[in-house]
Amino acid sequence: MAKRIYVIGTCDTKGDELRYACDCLRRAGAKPVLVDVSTAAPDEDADVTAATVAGHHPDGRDAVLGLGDRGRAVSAMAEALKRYLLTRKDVGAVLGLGGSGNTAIVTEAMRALPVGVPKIMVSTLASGNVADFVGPTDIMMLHAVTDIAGLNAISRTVIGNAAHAAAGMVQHRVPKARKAKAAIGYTMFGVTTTCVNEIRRRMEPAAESFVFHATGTGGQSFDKLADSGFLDGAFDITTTEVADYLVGGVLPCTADRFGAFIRHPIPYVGSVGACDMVNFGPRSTVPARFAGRKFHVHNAHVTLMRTTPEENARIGVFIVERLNRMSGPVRFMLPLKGVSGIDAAGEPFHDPDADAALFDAIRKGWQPARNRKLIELDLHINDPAFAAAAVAAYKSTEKLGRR
Amino acid sequence: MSKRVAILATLDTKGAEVDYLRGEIRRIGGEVLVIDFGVVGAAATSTDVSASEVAKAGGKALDEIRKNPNRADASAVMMRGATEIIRKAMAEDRIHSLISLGGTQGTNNAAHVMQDLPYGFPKLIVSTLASGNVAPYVGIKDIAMMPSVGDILGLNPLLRRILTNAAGAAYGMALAYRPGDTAAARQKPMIAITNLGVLTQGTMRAIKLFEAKGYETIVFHAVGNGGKAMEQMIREGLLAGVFDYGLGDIADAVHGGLRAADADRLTVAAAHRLPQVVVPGGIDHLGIQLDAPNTVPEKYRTHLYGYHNPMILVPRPKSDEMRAIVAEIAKRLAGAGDETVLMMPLRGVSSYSAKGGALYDEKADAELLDAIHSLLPPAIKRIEVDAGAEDEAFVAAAVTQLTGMIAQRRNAA
Repeated sequence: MAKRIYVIGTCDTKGDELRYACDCLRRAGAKPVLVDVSTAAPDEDADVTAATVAGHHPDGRDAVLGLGDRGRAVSAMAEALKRYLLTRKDVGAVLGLGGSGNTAIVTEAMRALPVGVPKIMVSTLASGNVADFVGPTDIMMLHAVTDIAGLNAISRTVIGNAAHAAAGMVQHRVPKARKAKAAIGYTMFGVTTTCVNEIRRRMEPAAESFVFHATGTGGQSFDKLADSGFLDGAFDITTTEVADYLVGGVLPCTADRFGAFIRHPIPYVGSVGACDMVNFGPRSTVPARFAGRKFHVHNAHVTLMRTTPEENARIGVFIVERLNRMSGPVRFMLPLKGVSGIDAAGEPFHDPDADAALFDAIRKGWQPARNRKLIELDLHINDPAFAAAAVAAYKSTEKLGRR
Repeated sequence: MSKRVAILATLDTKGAEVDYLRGEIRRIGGEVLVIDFGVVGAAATSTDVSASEVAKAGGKALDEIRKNPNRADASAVMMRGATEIIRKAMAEDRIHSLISLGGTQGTNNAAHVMQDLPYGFPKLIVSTLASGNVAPYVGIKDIAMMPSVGDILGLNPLLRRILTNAAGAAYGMALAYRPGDTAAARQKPMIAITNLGVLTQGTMRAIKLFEAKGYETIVFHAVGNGGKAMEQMIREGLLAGVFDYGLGDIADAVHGGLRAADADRLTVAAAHRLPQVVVPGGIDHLGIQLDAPNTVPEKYRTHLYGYHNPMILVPRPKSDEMRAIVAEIAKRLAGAGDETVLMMPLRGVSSYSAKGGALYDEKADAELLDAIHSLLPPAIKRIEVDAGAEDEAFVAAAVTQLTGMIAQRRNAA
């Protein structure tokens, strides 16, 4: 199928600029599709009308159009656009154009696409903090320099450059190269580095490593790469972001953590690394509701809070519920002597009861299946023997992998 | 004609990545010019412009830089040299887009070079920092930032995919780039307008009138950065004239407001002898950031004031404060000649001080006019119009004045 370039924006205010981008693409030999996401005065002449896009909202078109509240309309349109784009089979690239509202709408949809699909956002906000727009993905942001209000020598050049960049990316695609080595993803934290390094030492040089810090966005990048087909296997050793998500720390995962491995059945070895802690910033920023808890000041910027047995039980439930939905080869490893560098005997977060609550919840929720094995080891997570066992577990699954 | 992409990188650390990128650009039909601006060690792959050539263009021998490894200074030399070499290659039509890749230091240095290149010349950085605050790198320029997603430390399937996309983007832009794109050679001459929210009605009128006369317009928000971007475009010769309609950033620069202009503001058009109509639009108020909503700091208790929003107080400057603002405008226009005209609306310099506005005060308007009469350099022509700044009568007079000056300039040339 011929790949198309989806040109997306609000035609009610930026119709001329969007059509100019389409003209540039056609001149460059590419095939544009103009998608209108106006929430106020939709353009009936767009290739894909705002009504069509809005129809992809789970609550229907009326949940997007005709809302008085612009903020709500923008969020609803973003959701609708995301779902619309995911139904398209001919997306060669996405080119967005706009100010604050449209940048939010289009980048949310872009973030749902796999890494590697070209995405360019021409934005008035592209010379500022773009973290919320780009997230863990490869969205190329191009600064519009001036307001996107009318075509002039500057806006024509900037939009023209963006269009030709998109055309260049679509027209010059690579034939898929044969990979020399397997690509393996890892999740790591300072307190699980010993474990991950030992696993890597054993896996390399037969595999390439992608290591992600479990900082919330790190885990999202890990998932995003798995979703985008870049990983052949995973050592998800450090699932601590679940603790921050459930308890209220500053490095949380999203509800979709582990989702990539439910969707893509690649070999998966996981563990409960650093699930003994919730992360906060400087000590003074820890919310008052946690007064009386056990803290460890890691440095001036990072304060760690020990999880309780009750919290650990919830963490275990969250994890096991998702493991049960994985259909690929899964090996989940429980290090019974401790889950991080600071919960071994004699360390500040040593608390066997809390650890036991975590392990119990996972054991109790575990649904046996041929593709999944729960492996308990009477070792600490940073013990080299634990890493060796994880590698052995991975190798036992490799032959079963579908890729 | 084949198009060439320049790759700017530190070849001492990024050899493998640059090799791959070069291969991709060639594979899709482009030519490549690799420029090495690394200082630490030897290049890990072949280059077209070596680090020693870059250092030399920057005014120092590479050996000398390496002997005295003051990194900030070394970077400055290499950035200066790279800028020099790239500008020369552009002028000779040898390169048609520029791509760089790097982590913290590489992104910073490449961005520094790119910020000195003209608008329109395609610039792309593949960076580990492109999903964060990119303001220091992009600044007021049209620099595209593409996230590397993972680290740029050796090739892997992810980085290869990203670099292939980047190669396609850089070559795609190069294919469309024509050297004239960045020069003033345009179908239509372009006029810059500075705007503020309280002048928007007038700006919209001006855009229509300029367009009807065959001009393009480009609007800048006069809140600090906007004025800076406009003045950069003046330096690059992109503009035929300036309608400097909003000077609220000068008022704030004098009195510590939010939107403060930098030191160059209002001096650049005159220095380039560019026809300009200056209007003291929006100097009838300051933009004062509040600590708590809907409050009035002690200093402004006795001022006439309003609120831009609950967190921004807009007091009307008192007589002596107003004179200080006008004195600052006069000082900045001191070097201007007859290509600069100051136009004064007598019924309010923004919608705030128009009749019915929150800062309406005829006595203060009279004091402002008096300050302009007594402080402005006599060499600058003044035109007074008995209308408000946003009124059709005033805007039409300003547009006629500016387009007349531009036409006169063109006929003289």
